[in-house]
Amino acid sequence: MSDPAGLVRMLNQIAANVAHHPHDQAVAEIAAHLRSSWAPAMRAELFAYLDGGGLDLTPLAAAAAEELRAATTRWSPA
Amino acid sequence: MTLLREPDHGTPDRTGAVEARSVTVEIDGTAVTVPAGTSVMRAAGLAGVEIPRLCATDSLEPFGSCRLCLVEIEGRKGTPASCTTPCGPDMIVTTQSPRLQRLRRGVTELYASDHPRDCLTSDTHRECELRALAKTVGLTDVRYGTGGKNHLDAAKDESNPYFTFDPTECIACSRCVRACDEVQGTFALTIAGRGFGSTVSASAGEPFMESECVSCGACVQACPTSALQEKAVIALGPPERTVLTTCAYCGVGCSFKAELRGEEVVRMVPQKAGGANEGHSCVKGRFAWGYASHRDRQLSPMVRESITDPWRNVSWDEAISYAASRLTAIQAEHGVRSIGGITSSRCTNEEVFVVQKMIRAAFGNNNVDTCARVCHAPTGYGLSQTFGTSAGTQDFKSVQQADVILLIGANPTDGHPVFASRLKQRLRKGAALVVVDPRRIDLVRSPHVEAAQHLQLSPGSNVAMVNALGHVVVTEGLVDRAFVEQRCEADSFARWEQFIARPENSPESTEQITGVPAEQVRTAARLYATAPNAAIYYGLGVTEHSQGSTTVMGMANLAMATGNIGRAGVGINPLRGQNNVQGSCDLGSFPHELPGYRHVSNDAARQIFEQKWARTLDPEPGLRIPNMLDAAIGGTYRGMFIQGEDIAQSDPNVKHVKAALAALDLLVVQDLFLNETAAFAHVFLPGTSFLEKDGTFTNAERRINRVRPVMEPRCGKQEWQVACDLASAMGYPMHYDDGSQIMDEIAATTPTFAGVSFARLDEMGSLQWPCNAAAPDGTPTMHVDGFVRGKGHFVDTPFVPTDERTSRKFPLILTTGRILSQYNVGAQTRRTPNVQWHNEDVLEIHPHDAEERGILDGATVAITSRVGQTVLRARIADRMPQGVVYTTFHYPGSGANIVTTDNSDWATNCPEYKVTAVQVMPTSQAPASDQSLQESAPVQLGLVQT
Repeated sequence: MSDPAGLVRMLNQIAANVAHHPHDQAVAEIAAHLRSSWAPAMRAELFAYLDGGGLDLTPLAAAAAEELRAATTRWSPA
Repeated sequence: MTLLREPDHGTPDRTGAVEARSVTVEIDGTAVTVPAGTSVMRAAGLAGVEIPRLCATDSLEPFGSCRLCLVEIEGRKGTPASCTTPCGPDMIVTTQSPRLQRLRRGVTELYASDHPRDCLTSDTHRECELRALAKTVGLTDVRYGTGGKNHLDAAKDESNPYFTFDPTECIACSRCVRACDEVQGTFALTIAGRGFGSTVSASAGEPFMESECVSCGACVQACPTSALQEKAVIALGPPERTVLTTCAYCGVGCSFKAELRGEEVVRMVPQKAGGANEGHSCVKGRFAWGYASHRDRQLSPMVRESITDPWRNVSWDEAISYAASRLTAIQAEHGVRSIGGITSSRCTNEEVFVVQKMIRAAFGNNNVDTCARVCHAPTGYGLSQTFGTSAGTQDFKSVQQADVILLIGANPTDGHPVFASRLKQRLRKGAALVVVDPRRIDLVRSPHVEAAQHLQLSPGSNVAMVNALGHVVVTEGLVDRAFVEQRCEADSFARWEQFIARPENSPESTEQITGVPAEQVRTAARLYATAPNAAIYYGLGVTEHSQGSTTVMGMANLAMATGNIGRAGVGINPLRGQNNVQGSCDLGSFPHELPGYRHVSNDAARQIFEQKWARTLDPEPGLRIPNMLDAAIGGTYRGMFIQGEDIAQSDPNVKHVKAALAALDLLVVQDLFLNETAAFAHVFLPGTSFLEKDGTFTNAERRINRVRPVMEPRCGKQEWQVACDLASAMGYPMHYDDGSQIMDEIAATTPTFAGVSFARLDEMGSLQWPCNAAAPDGTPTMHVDGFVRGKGHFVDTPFVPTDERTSRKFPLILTTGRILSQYNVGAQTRRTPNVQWHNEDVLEIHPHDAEERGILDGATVAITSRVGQTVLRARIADRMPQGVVYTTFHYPGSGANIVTTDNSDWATNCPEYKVTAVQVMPTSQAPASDQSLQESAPVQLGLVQT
């Protein structure tokens, strides 16, 4: 995948649909959803987009993406 | 098997119809005990005594017109008709006596006097019950001669492509009329005229084809003579043997008797013992199977280097070897996750299981998806979140015990016609119907059916509507507290109760979103919540939205809050689209789930398969179809195997789909025909029709039905053999002797299928999963004593509107769907005489919207969305609400999915087919005149080696 716009749109949409939950819970839910249903290449592309500033992500989506990256680092053996 | 004649006891079974009382009667000296209300005729049949009859059959209520089933009853005067006489306590019945014999012979002779004489001798009329009756009563000659007034010169009606009505054979018994009324529920037929002038009339004396007849075949099946006869029987002769199998169209999964003469299929007759359909059918399953022998079938494997090259016929070995070497080369260059595949929901469980196994074990990744992605993926997500499993809760029969039926985003008379007939039967007996749909579908008002409420909501507002219904339940004290306390999570219910009671969820607030008056919503909610049994049925009008999963969870909340789960007559019932979409989901067609809906990251589940398959499996989820397409355009996904799906026609924004397919280094398509997707293929592997398959389908009620081969695979291989060959050629040997071994492997690895085998299916007819040690005969109703996940989980369901909005430039909402006579992309039905009902897709538009734009009925119009444009013929239809237009997608040239967008369900990426903002304007272009929209099959056929 080379155009992250689709991923950004998907993630923002997921965030909008769980935004009614308390922030920490919403972040955890989104991260778990991405972990469970996004292929590794999609997650990697998302992280690359984050590195580039992640400008089009909503704050909740960006927080969830950061949480996913942190959790991925925790899950992956060094 | 020789020709299977299912037992017919003349009148319906009364078990459970009245209070559980039984009566014992004596028939010709034999005592028989039957449920109260059972006719003497049926009791006699159960006692092994066949009473002659013509107007009676056990799928219809007794009518008492033919006067042949007369009996003598001790203590009663005269000779009452046994079909209309209920058994009484200690009744003593005589069915054979000289007097009865004389009466029956006399009546038979009168019938025969106005019946073609060759009926007694011609082989075509072998099935005529009058002919059989004449033999039974010993009638060899008719005393009345041929000079009298008769109907023997009446003209045939041959307008229907599948059956003929020959009035010369008609005995005016009304079985056809009653079948149309009682079984099908269309009320298209009547007996016109009186006395000698009585004749069967379609609608108001019109040819069948021009009448309201929906060609379900119920009348043909009910006809005791050859008056209504399949044209194939007339042409080929009566069938001689039967193969029991399952329809390959919609998710109802009707059981059929394929009846053959020699090796040729003469007709498909719905099986009375079929659990899903109980002897009924629709025009597709009953008649539209001729595509299996259509000249467009591609029976040879073919390969080509480039998609512009001519196809080259090759041997199976060469095609497999070519595909395997190129897939392997792609992986060597671009990585193990650079290829993947799509399983087909048109294929058997066994075929699907083997393809996903090939992808997981031989390809070595989880890049597998299926067409459920574009239909019921939100059902899987929503029901698993709330109930713990991804399937409907009931069997179809359950609707017969529903008192209120909430039908949301489904049009069963077109999409699931055999279930619609069951539903209409229940409605005619007094159940109330609430229709939630932007369109005035037929069930809102049709003969003898009228919805109590039609909540004609705006497209895209399902969540707001379901929330409003829930709001009324909670705020008006209609929650079933006992059920919730016993069966559901206290904390999630408490949260949901608080959420749903908020003012923004009230019918008064949501009225601005849904467009439905608040009082109407309140009335519907009260109806649903206070019914003894209330059931929800839904279709793609729920799932194919950006909030499809949310609506599914909202409906599950409603059912739990009102205690409408866990018994007959209630539940959440997805009307699944394709014949085996349930099975393909069950058996590991999703990129994140192994067979049995176990996540790929679940070590214990993965180990079961790793042990069985001797391969280490990828613990990471693979790509969904839209992700595969995006990745193809991005260059990281380069090779694809597509089994029996035509994503270049069926998926949204086909311009994007085609660009992705064109970007692949290798596309392998397995199908019956050179479909739109095959235009982008490098390897074409011929597939098998349902008449050639040997396996099982699982329908929307989780019913696993056998699909038995009527003929050998015309291309020489079963589809699972092809997947095994490809996997083996890629270095992972896969082999099965037959389909039953694959089902055995499924049973050994998938707990819900543990008790399923071909032998058990042959014994039981069908089995509904879960079928295991706890439920050895299967599970018709789920969540009876507890939810699969334990306690039911309530989910808050805020309404998040779709990004797709109307604007000054795109002021209308386009919604798409399907029609009775055609099926999905039309690959099958377009290759049958069903085209006589629907030979092009049209755009339905409200009269006001049409007038505002100067659009006349039949005019061509351009439909433009933010992603594309197509041209269709307009049909002005007041069943459309103002501001909403509708079309079908059965013809590739129509380009419905040129217009639909990439918007999709937030949780599952199921496309939002039901909401596309468009403008519609008159045009001078001919429909589908844009060359880019033309069907590619003719071009591809031109590239085929002859």
